[in-house]
Amino acid sequence: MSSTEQGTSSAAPAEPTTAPESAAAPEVPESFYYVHGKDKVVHKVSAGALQHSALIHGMISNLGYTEEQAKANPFPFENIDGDILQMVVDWCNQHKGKPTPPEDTNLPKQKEKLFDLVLAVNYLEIKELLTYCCKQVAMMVKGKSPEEIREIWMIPTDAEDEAAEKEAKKRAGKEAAGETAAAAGDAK
Amino acid sequence: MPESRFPLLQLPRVVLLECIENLDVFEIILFSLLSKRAKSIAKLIRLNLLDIHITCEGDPQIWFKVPNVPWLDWVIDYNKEKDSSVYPAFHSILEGPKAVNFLILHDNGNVIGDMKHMVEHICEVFSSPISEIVIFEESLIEWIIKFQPTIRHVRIRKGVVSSIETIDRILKNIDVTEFFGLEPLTIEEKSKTTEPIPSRSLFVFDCSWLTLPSILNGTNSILRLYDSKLTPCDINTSDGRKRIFPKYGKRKRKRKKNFNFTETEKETETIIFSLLSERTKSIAKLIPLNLLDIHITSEGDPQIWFKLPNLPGLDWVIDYNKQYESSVYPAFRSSLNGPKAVNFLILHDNGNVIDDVKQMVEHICEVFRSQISDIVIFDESFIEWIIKFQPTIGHVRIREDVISSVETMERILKSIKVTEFFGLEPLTIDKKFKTTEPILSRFIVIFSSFWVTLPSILNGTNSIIRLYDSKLTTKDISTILNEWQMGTKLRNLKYLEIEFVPIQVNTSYYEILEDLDWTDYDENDGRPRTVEIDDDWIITLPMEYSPLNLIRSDGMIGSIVDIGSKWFGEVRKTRISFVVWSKQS
Repeated sequence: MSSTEQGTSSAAPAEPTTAPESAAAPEVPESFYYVHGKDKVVHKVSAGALQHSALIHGMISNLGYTEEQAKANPFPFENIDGDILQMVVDWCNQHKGKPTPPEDTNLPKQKEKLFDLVLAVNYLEIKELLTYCCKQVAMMVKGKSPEEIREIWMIPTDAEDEAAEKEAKKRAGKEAAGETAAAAGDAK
Repeated sequence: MPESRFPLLQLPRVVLLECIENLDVFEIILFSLLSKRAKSIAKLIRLNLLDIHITCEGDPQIWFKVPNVPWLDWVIDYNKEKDSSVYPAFHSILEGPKAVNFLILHDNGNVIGDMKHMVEHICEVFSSPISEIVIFEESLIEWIIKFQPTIRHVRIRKGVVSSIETIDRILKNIDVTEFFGLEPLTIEEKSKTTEPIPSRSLFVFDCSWLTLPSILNGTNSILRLYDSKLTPCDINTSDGRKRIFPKYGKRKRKRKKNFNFTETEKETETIIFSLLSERTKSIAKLIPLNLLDIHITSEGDPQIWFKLPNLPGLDWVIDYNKQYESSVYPAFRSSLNGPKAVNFLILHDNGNVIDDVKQMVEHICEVFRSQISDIVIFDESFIEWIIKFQPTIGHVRIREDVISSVETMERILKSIKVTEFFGLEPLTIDKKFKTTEPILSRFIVIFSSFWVTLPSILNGTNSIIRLYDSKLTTKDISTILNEWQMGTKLRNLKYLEIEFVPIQVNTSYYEILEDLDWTDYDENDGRPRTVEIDDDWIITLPMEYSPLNLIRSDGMIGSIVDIGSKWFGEVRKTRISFVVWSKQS
């Protein structure tokens, strides 16, 4: 079989990366779910991509929705901004069914956006993405002086912390007094 | 000024701690200094520092290590050479097998006070004690008595102690458990002490104040006393039986010196030392040290790699090179690659490099009583050499076209016992050659695997099999999978990958599946995404297709995770990947 022998080559890969022309049968059709954020824009996401989120995965695992039911009942995440939810959905789609690489350079560079993303990712329990985000947060202060760290991370001084604590106590006292007065008024 | 800000303290506690855990130890220290709140957050990281020591090498310095990275030192250095605006500065250096990270802070004239505060802060945040102090300024004595009166190592610099009262105070109030060293001091000649000094090891210059009862009543293990006022009679008492220093006979000390030389120098220097003569070789063999992971390879230059026990992040490489004039050899070089470091000893490739490599390996294996664990055979003569020198070996990889005859192939299969990994790159031998014997190693990867037959696979005990350009047929592969499912053969199989060229061009790979009892229900929960060969080699499995599952009676699941054909020019190659797993694993 000369054709076989011609195929012998040092280029034969140790880690073949080419996908086969066709996959093994039978394939189960993929199911989709719908989510929306504060802006009410609905995103269609496959169950495979949503597996990254422990929160959503737990919610959908026993639902058994049909396509129509899923479409009619999008999961509302009113505490997440629309653009942040879009980022999360994009990340889940990009990493669907793939092992996550050690670094992810596609995270937002703007610190405000990263803060919202961290909160959303923590809420949605997406462990790998949270790990990347925390690394990114740590990288912000690489090679910085203490005062620069204080500035970047908005760390109050002890005096500021004490003043804020006093203010909070004062406010709590006023609120308690107000409630007592209101209760006394009700009793009359 | 930073362009935008990140309200770190508003993060949920768990996320906040994960962010802090991603900081390096200097960054944690700088963060913890920002406020009481930041300090209490840093304390929650629960990182203990090791070997905290205070010293003064030109600049006052605080040294420490973090657990599991013994080759990396962290140093806070107080310096005043430059303008105060350049501080704090960060700097790293590589010194042989070790690396040092520096945080350089400004010495603003109150360096001793600053350093004491910093040490107290570090000890509190990381719940770690000081292990060593070099007292280079007298105020450190009262401070250490108050802050940490029990300490392993204390060394007092020349001229710091000026009275016998201070010595008394040190001896009475600081419990030195391991080493107490006292450099020359200026106190009155008549001052004496008769009290024992409790540390295990004692090293004192100007020890006129130290008397015989102080020595005899002590429990010191090592004593080194200079400018002593002890008499010959004190040292070897009059009845000739009671010696102060029984362990320090002349012969023993000389022998100890030899050991110190070879044990503390770099390993490559020990190797060079051992090559000087039969006598130096015998001395080097006395070092109780085994090398790990000795492997021979050729990455451009022929190389011998090895590691030392307890230093997994450090590789030592002897490299044979001919780029430069012979006079520059041997040369030493180190490189740092991420968390790992490599030390090179570069020797001259004088045209007889293969024999030089063989002799060097034999020498190293003998001196360090160690075995070769891995060989990349890049020259045919290594085959007979390894059969003779060490026929049982963990890993063998044979480079492309090194084997040119059936006889050599048979000799390898019969005479080298490869226990872990056997890899064979493409070769050009008679295509009629076949073997029905099993290939013993746990993991085999064979390019040009036309010679590997069905009985060879079925009768083997391999755990991972990867065959390329195989002559196995769809029927053969179907038999392999059937036998695995019945549990009669291939009980150890974890992963199988075969690329073959169908004998008939129109043969469909579906023929493999025809006689198999595969399931079409979902058994994918927990299917592995990777197959781990060893620490450095992980195969990533395709996950995009629903697999076909074969279930064995003991509950093990075999998943065909990839099957398909692809044209390479005019050749259609078919590939199948099969992984074994269980729901418990």
